[in-house]
Formats: sequence, structure tokens, C-alpha cells
Amino acid sequence: MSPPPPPPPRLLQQHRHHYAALPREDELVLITSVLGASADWLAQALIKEALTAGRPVVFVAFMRDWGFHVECVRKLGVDLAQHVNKGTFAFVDGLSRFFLPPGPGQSSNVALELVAASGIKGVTAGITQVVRKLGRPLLILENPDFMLAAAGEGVGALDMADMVLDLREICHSVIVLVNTDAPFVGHPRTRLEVEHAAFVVALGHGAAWTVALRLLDTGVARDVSGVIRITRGGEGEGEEKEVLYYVGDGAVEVFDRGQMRG
Amino acid sequence: MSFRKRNLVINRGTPAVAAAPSPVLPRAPPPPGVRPSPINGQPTTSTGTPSLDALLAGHAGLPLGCSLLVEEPGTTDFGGALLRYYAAEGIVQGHAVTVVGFGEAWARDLPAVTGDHPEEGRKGGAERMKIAWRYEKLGEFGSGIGGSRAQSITATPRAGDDTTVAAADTAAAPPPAQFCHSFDLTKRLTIPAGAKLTFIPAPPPTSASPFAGILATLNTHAASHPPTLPHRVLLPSLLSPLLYPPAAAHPSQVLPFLHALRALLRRHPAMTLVASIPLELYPRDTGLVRWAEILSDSVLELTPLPHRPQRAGEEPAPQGLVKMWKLPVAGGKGGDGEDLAFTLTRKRFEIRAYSLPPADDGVDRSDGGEDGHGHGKGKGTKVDVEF
Repeated sequence: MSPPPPPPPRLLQQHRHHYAALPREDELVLITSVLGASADWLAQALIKEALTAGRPVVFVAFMRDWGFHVECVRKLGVDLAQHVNKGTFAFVDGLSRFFLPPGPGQSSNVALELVAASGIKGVTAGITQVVRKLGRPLLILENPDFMLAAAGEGVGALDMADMVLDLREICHSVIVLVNTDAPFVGHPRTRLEVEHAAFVVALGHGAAWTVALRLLDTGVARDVSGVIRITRGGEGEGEEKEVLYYVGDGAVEVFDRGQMRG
Repeated sequence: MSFRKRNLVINRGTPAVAAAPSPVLPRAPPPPGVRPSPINGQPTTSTGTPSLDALLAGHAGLPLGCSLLVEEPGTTDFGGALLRYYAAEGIVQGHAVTVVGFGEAWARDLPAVTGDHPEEGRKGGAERMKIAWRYEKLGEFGSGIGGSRAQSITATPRAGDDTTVAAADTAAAPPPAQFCHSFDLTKRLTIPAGAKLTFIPAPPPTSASPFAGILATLNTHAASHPPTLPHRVLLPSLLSPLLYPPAAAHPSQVLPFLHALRALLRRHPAMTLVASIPLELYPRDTGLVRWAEILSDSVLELTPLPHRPQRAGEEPAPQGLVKMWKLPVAGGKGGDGEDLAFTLTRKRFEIRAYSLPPADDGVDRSDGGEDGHGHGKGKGTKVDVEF
């Protein structure tokens, strides 16, 4: 039996969309960010992109709640609550009750509130359940590295990588957002740093491509928020590129170095 | 480019403010000490330090539901002064204040309100009328940092001379109380009998999960207040071994606590939190502190400078440098790259622009005590010429 023909090379889209291109079937995309160059806006752009392309999305957030994301995505012209009702979007809240005892009732738009006490197995099971309800959706994991940092001895990089693999099996494709500040990946010394670095490297090897957000190397500028670097991961093909971006009041601009902006 | 951006900000701010008194949507007046942010209408409250309010990404205050982490290396306690202003401002405004880790002795050192209104407010108001509005972001004359708009708004509702349009808009909502008071560090605040001031003691040194009790108490406190009452939570010297057992510094203890605080701030939108952490023990280049920064909405670092003798008739030299690593805005960007320095005097904690003296006047530099003052002036002159 001959192996299936290799997929056609990724069409090189215009760079302003390249960073927010959706992963193809079975692909993993890694988005890294640092303090001061958060990737929230990119996750939101990808949600919009996927929903407009008709692909269901499951979004698991450990750092931000439903209110924040729904507001930001609304500015992009997409009503997440509507998509929740249609069954094309599900929000899994890893913030509100993860470590805090339950308070007054949850928002009806939140599909599931994760609880740290259920352990990594419980978290995986919870996400799996939500994913199955939506068929084969695009799964976006926002900062699962926090779980690794806060869990202590119980959870290692290997367990986290296993979780991502398990979820990849049942999803169309997976996007993972992690922090790659210098203390985490530069010279890891403590257990927290070593495990973090191991997790990020493992993800990088499995990723079709990596989108890295960082601050300008030359210092802070008023009209540039940071740099986006798109590189092939362990299993990708396509053009590697580096562009600048600026997060304005609700809108994000992406442009080349030295490009005149309107 | 930069011109268009400023234009945008002003346009967005004004309708949000003007919408408040419209008959279609009668909104309850904000509680004392709360006002909408000029950039997105989010309610904000003062940190008790006007120049710090001005630094918070144009919000002109700390947005409710946000946290601020103050980091400080060395053995000084400038961050403690910031926290005391924040607590004192809350007590004066009638907000609920909760201090974690300290007892009532801490509150006895809070600075008292001084009667005199900060004179730079008046100056700012007068300046406003002369400067075209789109140059406002350039900052107050001499101070060199952006956000003079924040300061002038603070001042104008009280003054009778608010003839400018923006100021009139802000004043359209009845100007009930001052947004930010000025304090005198040498006097002691007498805490009114009805003050909603509570203390959560530090965990016992042997406790295995030191933060569980604090979190539970804080959760009960937060739920017991009316949801609109602003609630200020202070975590002075977080993780300091003087207060917290060694086990507290383990990532599996402190990170869940900070994550839960973040969730608590989202659950109670009228809550704000200011914490300070000693960088000497927990340096910024460790993963633990970086997570603490990621879990905070804004991060500020105070780096003290060696002390310089002050010469008579001169403004005091800055006592340290200020870095904004993260601001409470979408995108979570850091400061604007301006070099900032702080000066703590009896009357105020002030953050202003800082630049090193030019390389050629080595004489002045060796004399000491010249830089902050001389350069404030130099910068002002340059702005003047361009204008």
C-alpha cells in the first residue's frame, strides 16, 4: 500500500493573514507570548477566523473569563453568545472556579467550569466531553502551562504533553498558547522552570508551525506593540516570516518593517 | 499616525462620559471615588497617588476589577508608601478596605489628608486652557510624563474655572467628591468609626496550606459587601518570610492563590487589589515571579537609587526608578518606554520623567542632586520651542 500523497504546500497567503491562518486537519499550532506582548488578541482573531469559516471552536481559557473574551470578539464583529446557542462555539472556563470555591451561579454561556481538584485527568475528561458535543472542532488552549506551574509535584511536562495528544486525537486541530518569557525557557533551574521548558519544547516539536510574539528588540516604540515571528515547527512547511504588530483601541494592525502605514 | 491615534482616544472617551446623564439610560451615579476611564468608560478608582493614576494607560486610575503588583528590590519600603496611600484613599472615600498579613498597627501608620489641594492641579487647570487639546498627551509642563489630562480632570470639578469642553463634560455628572486626595506622611489618619476596614492575619508559621484560610476569609468579606461598594484589598510584602511561612513560596501554594485572587476580582467587579513583593528574595528572573506578574493585571517595579544629598533651593533628586512592566489594557503592554523616576517627600509620592544628565557636564554630575531638576527644565524648554 503506497503512502498517501503529501499534502499540497500551504498557499502563501498575504502576511497579514498568515499569522492568523487556521491549522489544517490534525495540525498543532503553538503560539508563544511574553509579558507585555500578550496573545489574547491573536486567539480572538483565530476564533473569528474559524467561526466565519464555519468551523466549530472550543476555547479553553485559564487566564481570562468569558466576559473579557466575548467583549473583545464582539469588537471584531462576532457574537459568541449566538454561536454558543447555535452549538458552534463552546467556552471552557479555567479561571473562575479553578482554585476558588464556587460562588453565585455561572453564566449560561459557559459550557464548563474546570476545577483544579479534579486533577489533570478530570480536566482532560471535562474538555473531551465538551469537544465531543461539537463534533470535530478546532480546540484552542489558552495557557495550559499554568496548570503545570500551579499543580506542583503531581503534574509533569509529560502529563501535559499527553493531555494535548489525547485532545488532538478527537479534535480537527489544536492551537496552544503558552508563555515563553526568558525565566521559563532561558536557563531553567527550578522544577517549575524545567518542566515549563520541557512542555514548550515538546509542543514545538509536534507543532506544524509556531507563532511567537515578543517585544521589539530595540526597545519600546509608541506605534509598535511587538513582533510576530512565524516559523515552521517540527512538522510543518510554508514560508517563515517576521512582521510587526500594533494593538490599538480594539483593532490590531500587522505590517512589515519599514512599511508605510495609513 | 500618532495624531490619528490621539484623536481616536478623545472621541471615544467623551461619548462614554456624556452618555451618563442621558434620560434614556438613567444610570446610578458612581460611588464616591469612582469615575469612568477616559479611554473606554470602565469605572476606575484612584490609587491615592495622582502621578501613578496618570501612568495607568490613560485610564487615569486603577480600573475596578484589576490588580497591581508593586515590586521592589533592596531593603527600602517605597512600595509600602504606595500601599498606604492606596489604603488611606479608600478609607477617606468610604470604600471597604481589607489588609492581608498585618494587624491594626499597620493602619495606624496611614497618612492623613491635608487640607490644601495639590497646587499642581490648579496649575494644570490653567495650563489646559493654553495648550491645544491634542498636545495634552505630551504631559504637564516640566513633569514630562503623559496623562496631564488625568490631573486636570482631577482638579477641575472643584475649581470654578472649568471652561474647557472636556472638563465641562466630566463635570456634567455632578462632581460629588474628589477623585484623589493628597496626604501628608508625617500626620496620622484618624480612622472614622464607620470605616469598613478589616484585617486578615498572616497564616501561622506551621500551616501546610497558608493561603487557604486567607482566601476563604477574603471570599466571605467580598461577598458580604454590597456589590457596588468599591473594595480595596492590600497584600503588603507578599511572601516575605516575616509574614508568611516558607511553604508559602512554593509555586503550588502561591500560584493557586494568585489565580484564585484573579478569579475573585472577576467575580466581584468592584474590587481592586494592590500587592507588593520583595524582589530581593524573589528575583524577577525566576519563573515564580514571572507567573505572579502574568497573573496580575498591572506590574510596577520601583528600583531605589543611592541617596544623594539635597542642596538648598533645589527640588529633591529622584529616589528611584519606576518601570511599568504591564498595564491594565487589552494586549497587556508595558509602559511607553519613558524613563520614569519617583520622589517620595513628606507631601507626596510623585512619579515623573527621568533622564540622565548630558555626558559633557561631568562637573554637575559629580556634584550630585542636579539631574532630575535640570532635565525637567530642559525638556520643558524643548517642548516650548516645538509648540
